Amino acid sequence: MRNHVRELRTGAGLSQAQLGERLGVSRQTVIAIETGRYDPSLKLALRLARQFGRRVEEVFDDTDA
Amino acid sequence: MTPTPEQARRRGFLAVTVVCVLAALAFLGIGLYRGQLLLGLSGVVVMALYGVFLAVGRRRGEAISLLAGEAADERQREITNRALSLTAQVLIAAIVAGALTGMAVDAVWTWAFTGLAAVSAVTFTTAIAVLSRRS
Repeated sequence: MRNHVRELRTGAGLSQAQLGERLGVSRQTVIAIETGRYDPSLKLALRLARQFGRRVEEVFDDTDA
Repeated sequence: MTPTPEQARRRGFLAVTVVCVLAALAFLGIGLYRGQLLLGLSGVVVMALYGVFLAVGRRRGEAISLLAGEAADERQREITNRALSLTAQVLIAAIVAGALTGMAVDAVWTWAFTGLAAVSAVTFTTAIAVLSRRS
C-alpha cells in the first residue's frame, strides 16, 4: 500500500528513529512502512495518522491495491 | 499492561540468554553423565559462542536482534511468527517423511517419528481450536 509517511515525517523535521520512538516501534519498522514493504496494523496506522494530525486515509492510499 | 518496546527487548533477550545457559548446562550434564567431558564442554563452548554472537551482533543488525529474542513491535513479532511457522512446516514435513520412511523399511526408530507426528497433530489441532475461539 502506498503512503505519505516519508513526506509527513520529513515535513515535521523528524528522523526515522525519532518517529519510531514516538510510535513505540523500531527504526527498521518505520523504514519498512515508508518503503511500502510493511502495512501497519489499524492501531499503528491510527497512531501514525494522529502523530501528524491527519486522518488515516490521508496517510495511506489503497487505490493501487 | 503492555510492555514498552525496550522492556519487550530486554525480556526477549533475557529469555534467549536463559535458554542458551540451560542448553549449555544440559550439554555439560549429558557429557558428565556419559563420562565424556569433552562432549559436554564442546556443547558449552558452542552455546557460549552463540550467546556472544547474539550479544555482540544484536545492535548491529535487525536479523541478529530478532534471533536474540528482541522482537519489540508488531512487524518484528510478525517476522518472528512467520519464521516460526515456516520452521514448523519444514519440521513437520521432515517428521512425516521420517515416519513414512521408517514404516517402509521397518526401522526401529519409526516410533520416534510417529510419536513426534502425533504430538504435532494434537498440538496443531488444539491450537486451531483454542485460537479460533479467542480471535
